[in-house]
Amino acid sequence: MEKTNEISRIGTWEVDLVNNKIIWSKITKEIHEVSPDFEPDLETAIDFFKEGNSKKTITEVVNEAIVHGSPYDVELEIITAKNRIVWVRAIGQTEIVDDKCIRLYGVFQDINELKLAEEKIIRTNTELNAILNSGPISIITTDMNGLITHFNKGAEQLLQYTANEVIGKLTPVVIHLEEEVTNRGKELSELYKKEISGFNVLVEKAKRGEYESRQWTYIKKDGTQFPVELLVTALINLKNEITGFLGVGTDISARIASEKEILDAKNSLELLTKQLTKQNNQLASFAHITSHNLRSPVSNLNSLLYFYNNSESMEDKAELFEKFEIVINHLTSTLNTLVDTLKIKEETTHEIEKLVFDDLLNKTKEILSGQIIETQAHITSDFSKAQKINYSRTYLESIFLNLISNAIKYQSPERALKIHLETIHQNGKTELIITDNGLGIDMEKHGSKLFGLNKTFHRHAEAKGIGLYLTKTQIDSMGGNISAKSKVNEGTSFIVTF
Amino acid sequence: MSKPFIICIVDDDAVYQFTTRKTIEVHNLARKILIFSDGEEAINFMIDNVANATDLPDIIFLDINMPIMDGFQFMEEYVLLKPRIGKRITIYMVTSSVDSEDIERAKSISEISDYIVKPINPEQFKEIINALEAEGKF
Repeated sequence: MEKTNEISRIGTWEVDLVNNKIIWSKITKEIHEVSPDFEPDLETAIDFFKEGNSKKTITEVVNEAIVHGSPYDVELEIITAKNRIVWVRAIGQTEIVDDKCIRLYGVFQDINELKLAEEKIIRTNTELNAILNSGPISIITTDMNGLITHFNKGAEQLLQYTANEVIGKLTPVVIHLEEEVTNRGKELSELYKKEISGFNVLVEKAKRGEYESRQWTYIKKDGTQFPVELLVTALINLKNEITGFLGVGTDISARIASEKEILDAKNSLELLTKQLTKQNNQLASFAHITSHNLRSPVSNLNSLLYFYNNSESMEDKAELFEKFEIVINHLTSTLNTLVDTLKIKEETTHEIEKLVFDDLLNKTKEILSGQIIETQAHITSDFSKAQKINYSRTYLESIFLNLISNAIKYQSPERALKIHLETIHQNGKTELIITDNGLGIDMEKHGSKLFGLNKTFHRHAEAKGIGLYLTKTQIDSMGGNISAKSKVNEGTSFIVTF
Repeated sequence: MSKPFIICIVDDDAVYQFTTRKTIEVHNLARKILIFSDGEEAINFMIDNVANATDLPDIIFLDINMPIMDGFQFMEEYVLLKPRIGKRITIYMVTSSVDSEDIERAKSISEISDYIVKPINPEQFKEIINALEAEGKF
């Protein structure tokens, strides 16, 4: 008995109220850290209790016991002879004779370790609760079946449900966007080759010992939605069995919003750069055009003027005047082209219509009917793959007219002219291909200048180098592209990507 | 008395051809004037006459922008032909272009003596010819 008492640190005591004598057992003395020959009395015994609540309580319960014979069982602090604070459990019983308490007896147990452990647990719990409930972080735990077992303050704030409304009643599926769960379910089903749906979608990875962090959409009680980053892990007991699941969700609306802001800023910067680059290119090409095409007639005019001023004969003057006329006509035509170009480049909005390729070809054929009859050009077409296009009518008419009249202009004298028009779909875009069997162009030599202003490639009186330049400007302004393939003496294909 | 040179004009601009011819004639700057409307015509003439040094030009005023074969393409062909030409030929690039890209490119070709921007007035023309004569290049 004494052995067990030693292990559990339980001592005994008794107070003989008749002789006013106190007896402490060995363990009781050890708990008080007094010497084995220490002789306490009632007063000194009570004095060991810590000042304040402990002393007050023991005084009261002992008084109650003496006066009314009520037993007691209290947990209090004493200060030992060695000045240590120790938690003890004091249990007191009374012996009543003739309505009078003659003896008090009981046990005295050192519960310090127990008490400290308990305090520690409480403190840890408080801390944990503080952590769980701090900030706008939703922490939800569930049992194996998905029924919510814990719903923290953050979850209440974010999701507008109270813990009482959901604990033991709902699964976290109700706060998820159904579509997202279904889609993720399909992915997981595919991945693991089994049907995964509902709550299992959220915890499948956790069940497999992985933790998973994903972006989801949460739905508040009032139906509004917000994005969360949700981390799901399994709760595992000491036997390594899964007992439930823990989901920690962080509201990432702010992050998403700033991400979007940055993305928007980046996109608008890119767009601006594109526009600036385009304008820069236009300016550069304009400088080039001015340099090449305006300076030469002006310098001719200057030279002619010099001669005009220095010539004396009327004959010479008349001859020079003819030359003036040539230069002025040339200058006028170049200026007109530049004005046309500026118009195309400045027009940012175009009237877009649904246009039928067949109609456009017929109209072009009508306009060019004289030349077609004269050259006996054989024009064929296949617009079956793309019959219509949404485009500016003026531009498309001009593109047809320029490309077809070019083919007629540069036909080979060695063979009958054939022109074939075809539309295809390529990379989601409509392309128009106009192929002829004419003179062709040496692409290696002239490819880079093919669409330049006043660039000509044939010794041809009608070659002015304006048509292809304007055609390209128009196509460019609509966001498209024109390119050419050609072999000398075999023919040319122009490819217009709308 | 006219100068003893053959001057060659390679330019597709008819009015420029006319004014240049006129300048040369008025100031007696050449004994003969050759005029071609593009590089190909000019190089064909050179190839045909490569053996007759006396018929080849002493000075070529070469335009850059021409159809069929432009000034730079002419130069590529000329460089290949040069070893067979038994004559010193001075070549000027003459163009209305003030494009720095064209100027740099012309300067990078060692066979080109200089780059002249149009318009060239007759006084300038005379100076160029006189300077060449003074250098004793001919």
